[in-house]
Amino acid sequence: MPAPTDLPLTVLIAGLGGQGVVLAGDLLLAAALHAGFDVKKSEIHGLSRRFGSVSCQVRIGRDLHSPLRGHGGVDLLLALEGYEALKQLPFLKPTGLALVNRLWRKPGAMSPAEQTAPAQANDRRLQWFAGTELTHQAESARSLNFYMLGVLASRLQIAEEFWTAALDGLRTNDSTEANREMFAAGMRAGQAAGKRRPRVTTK
Amino acid sequence: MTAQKKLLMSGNQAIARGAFESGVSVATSYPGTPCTEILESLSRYKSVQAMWSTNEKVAYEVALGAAFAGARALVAMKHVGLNVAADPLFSSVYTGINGGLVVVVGDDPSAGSSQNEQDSRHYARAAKLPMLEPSDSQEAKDLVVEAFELSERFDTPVLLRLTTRLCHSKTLVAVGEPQLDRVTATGFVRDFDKYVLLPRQAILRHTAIENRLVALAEHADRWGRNRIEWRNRSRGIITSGVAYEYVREAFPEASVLKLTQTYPLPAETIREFAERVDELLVIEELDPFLEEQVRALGIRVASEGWIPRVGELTPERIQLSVERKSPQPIQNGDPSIAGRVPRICAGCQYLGVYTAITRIGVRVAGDIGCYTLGALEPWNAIDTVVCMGAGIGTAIGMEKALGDRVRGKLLAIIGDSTLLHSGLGPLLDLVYNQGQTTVLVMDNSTTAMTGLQGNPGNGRTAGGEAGPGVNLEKLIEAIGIEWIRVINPYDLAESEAVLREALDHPGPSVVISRAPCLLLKQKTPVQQAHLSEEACTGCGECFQVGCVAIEKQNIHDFVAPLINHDLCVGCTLCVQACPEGALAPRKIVPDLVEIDTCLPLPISL
Repeated sequence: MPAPTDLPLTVLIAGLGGQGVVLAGDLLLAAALHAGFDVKKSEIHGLSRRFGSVSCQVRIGRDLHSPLRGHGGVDLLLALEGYEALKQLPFLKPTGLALVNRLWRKPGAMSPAEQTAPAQANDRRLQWFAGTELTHQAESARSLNFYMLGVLASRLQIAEEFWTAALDGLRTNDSTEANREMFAAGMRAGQAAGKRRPRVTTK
Repeated sequence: MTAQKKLLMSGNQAIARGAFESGVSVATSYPGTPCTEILESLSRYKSVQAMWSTNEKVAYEVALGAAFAGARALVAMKHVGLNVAADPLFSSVYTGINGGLVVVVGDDPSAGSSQNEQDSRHYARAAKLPMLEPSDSQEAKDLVVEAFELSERFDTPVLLRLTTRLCHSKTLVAVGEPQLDRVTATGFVRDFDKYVLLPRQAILRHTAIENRLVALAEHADRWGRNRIEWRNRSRGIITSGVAYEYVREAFPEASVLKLTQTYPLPAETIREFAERVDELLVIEELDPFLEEQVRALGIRVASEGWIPRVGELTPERIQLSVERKSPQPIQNGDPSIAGRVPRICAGCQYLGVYTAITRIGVRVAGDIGCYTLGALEPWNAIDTVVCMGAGIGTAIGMEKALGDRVRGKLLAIIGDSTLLHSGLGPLLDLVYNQGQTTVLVMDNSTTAMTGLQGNPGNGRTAGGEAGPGVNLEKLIEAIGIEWIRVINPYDLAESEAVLREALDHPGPSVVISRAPCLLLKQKTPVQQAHLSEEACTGCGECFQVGCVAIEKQNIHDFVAPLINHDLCVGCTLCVQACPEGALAPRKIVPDLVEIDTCLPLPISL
């Protein structure tokens, strides 16, 4: 499968209200800024946060115009939940890559986690990560967004010092050891899972 | 000279920064997506008196008064708020200003958080005032500064039109120095023919306005921000606002006329551009506001009928629509994956109220706030939602039209903030016209849906200072309602009984359901609901409460509740709803380590 294209790079982060999607986007934004890129970020606010879908787009690179891209315009999809990943697939480029946390919270039904996945889950652009399971094991369930951000970081050539700078800029209640550890764990999981990287450099 | 400082700002934050730099001393607003953060950001600048107003009309009038007094003033509101403020808007164009007045309006293409998808640009034409549209945060900040200069130079309020995408997108902004010497108001100077709109003065002022519009159109032609970007001349695109950014992304080779003053338009610049390109396109979000005016100049627009008029644009949607020469659908997520409807928070008072209402079975004229979610599953309790404050009035109309057929079966629901925004007039009407409708006031002591803002009910100001707050019972009593009861919404039996009594009362009645919004003080629950699997019969009454903490599981051969203890706040509404006694509260034994590090919060703020 071809890697996502050159700069500018568009990342779509999706998940559920309360999972920390917007914070993950802000950290990506900060890391990219520290690395010297221009950035634009687009957030979905309002009604969405009350247990609804939450998403944001982060665009990194040069000559950025639009704060968001439409169908087929996104290079990387980072999803904290399965249905949210599948919902956003129309936005992913045919050559794009989706990094998805293995968690199913079926929309509409007030049901617990489900194991059955819709047919779209077989899309070859999806790569699955056991973020929920691992963060639970580490008793850091609320650090899931940091774990998945670590997975994303493993696929971007933004040097580690810039991620450290981004994490250092967090407010004190987000700047916990658990969050840093889960970010590092996600980075390792991402590196172990594959070498597919978009061509993004800090130069 | 040192390098200019750049900050990452949302469009809303940039507007606030621009106001601060302009030396604004009075800023007003009523909360509403997508513009709420403008005033919230302004409240952090010490030189600005930032105030939540009772409603947008009041907000406008307060800002206008400050401008009359020679201060620079800014008023911000969402698109439907401008409908509320339309009356002073139109007249203030006649009076003109003294200190600058900038009116910020945020439209919501795709109606992400709104009851309609209006294009507020029509107001500029209808009210005859200049309008500016920024394309990103930098321009939003800069345009506020220029809008104040324009406002004072032409003695007119200036409309600054934003859209949700711009308000909620973050881009880099080079900030400037604040004009703090402008903060002190220059003083009011009596000018009868200008500030007192009696009929004779109005006609005189109308002439002045028409002359002003001609001068503003000339200004538009000379102003550098209405700029032509020459690239390939086979295709030229006229565009404005955030659509400009989409156009640049979708058609990087095309020549572009970026319009920043979108009323009145720079006719000469448009003619010059149109003459020098082979094919002229006009690409704008929502209505063909620019397109119709360009065509009225006698210019052929090739893209007539191609550009979508419903829903937000994206670069890809524009590209496809132009390629296929027809409007392409909104670009949402995969429709085969069900969407997630917003939910009322676990343990919210509204769960109790809607459970009680569902048991009674009444027609409900609803209103706008978190409680609007009662229109959805599992309650399906609300029958109409129109606009802020419309519930009581429409209930009166239904009652007058249907008479005995709805007597005792009709309820108007309104929140505390919405009641004070625009529900008091209809409540007076209910008394005056001798209606019998029951009004249920959902008092959670805050403007919750937009993010817990202060309001005259709780008395908390935009700056966070505590104030007295209005006594709702006394206010409603003074209006002339004699039958008033306050219920504890966490007592299901009481809520149902009092609501039935109110509905049976011959005459207007008001029930106030009072409990502070849970998000106001997010504390650790002291107890949580637990299920006794032996006692549960699978009747499903607990699901009717509609709490997000009540999930489903299969036990034996039926569906039983599964309490999500990450979400349960221990309100006991499901315990009260269970006819079998299968749900019971259980005290939480505090685990010190857990409490110290991460508490399970109902939602993230």
